Amino acid sequence: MNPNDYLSTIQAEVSRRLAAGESPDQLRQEILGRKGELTLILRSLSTLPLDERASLGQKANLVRDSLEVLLTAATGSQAVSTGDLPDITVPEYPVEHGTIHPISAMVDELVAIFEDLSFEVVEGNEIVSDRENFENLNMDKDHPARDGHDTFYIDPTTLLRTQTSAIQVNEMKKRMKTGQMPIRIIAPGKTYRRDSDATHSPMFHQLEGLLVDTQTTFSDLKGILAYVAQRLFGDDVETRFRTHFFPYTEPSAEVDIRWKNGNGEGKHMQWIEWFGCGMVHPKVLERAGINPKVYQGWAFGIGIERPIMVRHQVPDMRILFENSRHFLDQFGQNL
Amino acid sequence: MNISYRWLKEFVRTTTTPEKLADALRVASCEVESIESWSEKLKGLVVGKVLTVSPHPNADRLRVATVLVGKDTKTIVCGAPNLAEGQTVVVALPGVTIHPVKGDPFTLSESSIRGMKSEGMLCAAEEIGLALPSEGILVLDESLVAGTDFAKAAGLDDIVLDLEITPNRPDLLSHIGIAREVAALEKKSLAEPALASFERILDAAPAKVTIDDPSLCLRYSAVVLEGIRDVPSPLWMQARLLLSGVRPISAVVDVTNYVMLELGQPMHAFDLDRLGDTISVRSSHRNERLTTLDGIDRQLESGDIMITGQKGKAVALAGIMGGATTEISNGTTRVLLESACFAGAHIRRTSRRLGLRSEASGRFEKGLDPEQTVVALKRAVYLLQQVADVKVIGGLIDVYPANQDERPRIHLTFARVQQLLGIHISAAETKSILQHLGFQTPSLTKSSFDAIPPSWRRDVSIPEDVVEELIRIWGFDRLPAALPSGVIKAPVPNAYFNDKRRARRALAGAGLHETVHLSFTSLQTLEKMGEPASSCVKLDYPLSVETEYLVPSHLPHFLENYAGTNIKETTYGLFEIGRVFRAPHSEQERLSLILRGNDAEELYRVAKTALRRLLAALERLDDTYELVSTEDGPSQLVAGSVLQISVKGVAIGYLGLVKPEIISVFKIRSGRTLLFASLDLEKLLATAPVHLSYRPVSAFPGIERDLTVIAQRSMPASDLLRLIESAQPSGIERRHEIVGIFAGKPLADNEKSFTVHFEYSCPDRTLVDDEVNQDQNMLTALLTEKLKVKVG
Repeated sequence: MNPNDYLSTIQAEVSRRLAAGESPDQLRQEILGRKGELTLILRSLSTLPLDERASLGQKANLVRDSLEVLLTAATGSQAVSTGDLPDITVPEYPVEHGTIHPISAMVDELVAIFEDLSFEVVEGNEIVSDRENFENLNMDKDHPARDGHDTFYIDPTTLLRTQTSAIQVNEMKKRMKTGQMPIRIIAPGKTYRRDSDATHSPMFHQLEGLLVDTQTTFSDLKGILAYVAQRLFGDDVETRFRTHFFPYTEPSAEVDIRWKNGNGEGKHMQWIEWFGCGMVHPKVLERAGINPKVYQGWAFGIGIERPIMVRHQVPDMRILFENSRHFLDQFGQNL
Repeated sequence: MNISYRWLKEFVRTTTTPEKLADALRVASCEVESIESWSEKLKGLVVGKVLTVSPHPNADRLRVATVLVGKDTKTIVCGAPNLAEGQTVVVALPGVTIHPVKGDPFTLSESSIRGMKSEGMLCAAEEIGLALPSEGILVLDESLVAGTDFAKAAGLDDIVLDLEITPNRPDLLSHIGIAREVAALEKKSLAEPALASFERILDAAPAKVTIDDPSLCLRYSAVVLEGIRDVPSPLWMQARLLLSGVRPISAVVDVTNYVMLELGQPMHAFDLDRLGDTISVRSSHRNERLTTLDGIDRQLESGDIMITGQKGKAVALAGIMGGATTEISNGTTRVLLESACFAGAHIRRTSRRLGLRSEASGRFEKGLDPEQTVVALKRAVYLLQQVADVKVIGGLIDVYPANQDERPRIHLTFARVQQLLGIHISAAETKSILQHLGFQTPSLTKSSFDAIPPSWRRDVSIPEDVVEELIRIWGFDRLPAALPSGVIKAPVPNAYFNDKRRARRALAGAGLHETVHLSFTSLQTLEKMGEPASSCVKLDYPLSVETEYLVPSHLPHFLENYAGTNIKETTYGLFEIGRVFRAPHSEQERLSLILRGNDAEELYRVAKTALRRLLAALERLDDTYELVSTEDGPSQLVAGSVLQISVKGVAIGYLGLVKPEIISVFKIRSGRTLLFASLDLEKLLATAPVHLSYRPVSAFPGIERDLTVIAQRSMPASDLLRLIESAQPSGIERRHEIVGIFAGKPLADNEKSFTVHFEYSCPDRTLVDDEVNQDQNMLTALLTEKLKVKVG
């Protein structure tokens, strides 16, 4: 057989012989070994005329590389097929990662949703003045609505904020002054009220949202919150607005959610109360130096613990703050 | 606020079921906490007549009654002290389920009590769910017929909606207020209550009223009645009071309460003969005292609103509670019926200070309607005339300094309504909604209207308030879900917040568990920590002594957390990101972590690894990262164990071992070595992130070597590292790290070994063994000489 024909057929021949069960090592020896067929061809190239030498040489090298691949692969598969298997049922190493607290995870999840909606994140202090927490929000000293905010005072004018809305006026003022209108912000954080039972903790978390623009409506608020509820809980979730009163929003509403199809995994078919919202009260805008004839906006304060309790079926809010190992260990999924 | 379905229907002819009504109110008006069917709750209870009462043969405290129940007579054992022959009582027969105020419902069965068969039970009010204080069985009006259904006979076969009214809507603290909402929702008309007619006759009244300070009292209306007798109010009225959770007392008192529940106007009845004919409303004097109806002597303060009688002596705490001296009694024949409008802020302040809240104060403090005082009086007189033969003496007493109530006229365009809500509400709908709610809508055109709120809607003063009225009645559910259409600025990322997210992931990835503890702590815990309480933030009125202070550090919560668990693992670690607080009221966000185990060196290695991961995740890990031994760590850490953490020359925190005495006092039993680290997050994140510049990668192979160094146990690793660092080879690059530390056999007891791994490279050529060997030999000699170690 002339060298050219040999090169053209040898690959198929090797494949056939491998399939027939011949040893790859032996084939390698026979073809690519020191006295192998292909080795001999390569050595004989120098005796050929120059033009023939170039084309045949190129081809021979290519074929040699291909055969290497073919024989190497065959060697591996033969090892497996001869029953020399690793134990593929070995266990993984013990997982040593820690956990992120479900409150942080829920805040992160909500923040990510609002970032998609072009909201910026701000944070405020937890110790605030009476003015920031109440007066700026249209709740003067003797306002009966203060009764709903069982407040922890530090001194007569200083307190632990009862709501993340305490950031509203400061942020609006700053942004109005520095020409950063319109405003789209969220402010997650800790809040405090004198209350402790299965559904109340003296410390809890809210995520404040505030949008102020020349045109934005109550319908927009409803649309945004319906979107957020669906992102968080799935497309199966419905939202409804229910009338409520907050001195710093007008009109005001509370947002309830329910699932169209409950399945027992925290998917309630009854309406469950979630959080409050409304159109920013003109007096609050004025307090921030914003002309309510030009701007209007809306705000909400999403409770963080409630969705965690609903989603993970946690029966008592206080469990979230006990930080027992057995509780924390259940939340290692979201790293 | 309890609303009786039947009472409600006197004002609005609704045919909606209570459940559907509750759904509608919940969305449009107020929260509905519960719907309770008293017919269901009292089902099966019957009226009985006690025929005979005889002693129980086997028990001193029990007696045996025969009770007529329809045609049958039942023998019933009863322990009530007030049981007597001839009484009309409530009987629960076997098979009936009763619903007590406290505890679970239970079903009666025929039983034997101390050897006597008992064929039922005579019920006390609380046993059947009526919230009345009782000292025995409930005794009914004798007109009730034995054997009849108790609920029906007593007028309790009703359905009660328990509503939670927001503080802006005191008008909803009444049946007529809720009826008005229903009328607006269902577009029905509202019936007016029947009133007595009498007018103001100047100077004809037998009592004179003055208001000293009109800012305390907007209006004081009253009427003097004679012919008062101590009779009970009619059963239907008692039933409605009971369903509202108010205890029936006597006709006069019951009527004042009834009118309050019906119209929302609190009233008070004074015994005129004990009050005198000169009444005044004024602010309390300093050190003035008053004994209120409940028998408590109370210290008053300036700003408390007082009603005074003869010689200016205080007789009542206006709007909150009457005084003992002018209380009506069974001998009262003439009363002054007060229907006033007191300043809400004053009432609220006084009632909160004294911890004295009543149905009246809860209404006044939200701001009542001065226009309602006379209507309420006329309603009360009408009802009293039905019940007892009372006569009005003289006519209406009415002091109204402002003389009329100024109502705002609020101008609104439909364009503005649409701008706020995103929907169009037609002029016809607007008019219908507002008029049903009692608003006037003058100047109504296609494009705009004026709204004048009724006097009882003092919460409505600006256009946005009117818009809320429109949308809540028009229907929140009809509001489309849109999305904001304004300009979107490029959002400015909050690097600090984002870094906290990265920090959490890095530390959780390093095997630590994030905690979120309450920010509170106790004096006792601070003392255990050796923290002076004066440097911490104290709450004015804490929930408990456990939560009196705000935490000055994350350490105490970590320690309490460990004390509560018994984890054997050596490196069970926690971390927390949150604020800590210092007096007078400063706060600082810190990131703290703690590790628990038995081997301190191991804990340092784990902590330092976690710190590196953290700093790398935050892009703050470069050559300037330093851990330096420091003397001034927090007092809870072991002296000499503390390392100060610094980045870019800025000290950002520390790590060190918790003192054993603190670990003991927190009762941590196993895994008693604790390493605590805490970082000032704001300081750390204020440093510039590391800038990564490309360095050429050597194309030439490097050479690796390991050295084992056997040293005295007491020699710190830093000595070794520093010495290696100090002797850099010239012309080639060398990197090194300690990859193993070992103590134990075959080493001597006082020895340990370090395995140091070296990597040699050169950017522009292939290294030769000789030059590496030369450096290794140099190092071996250097270490052996300087550190007195064995190198192999």
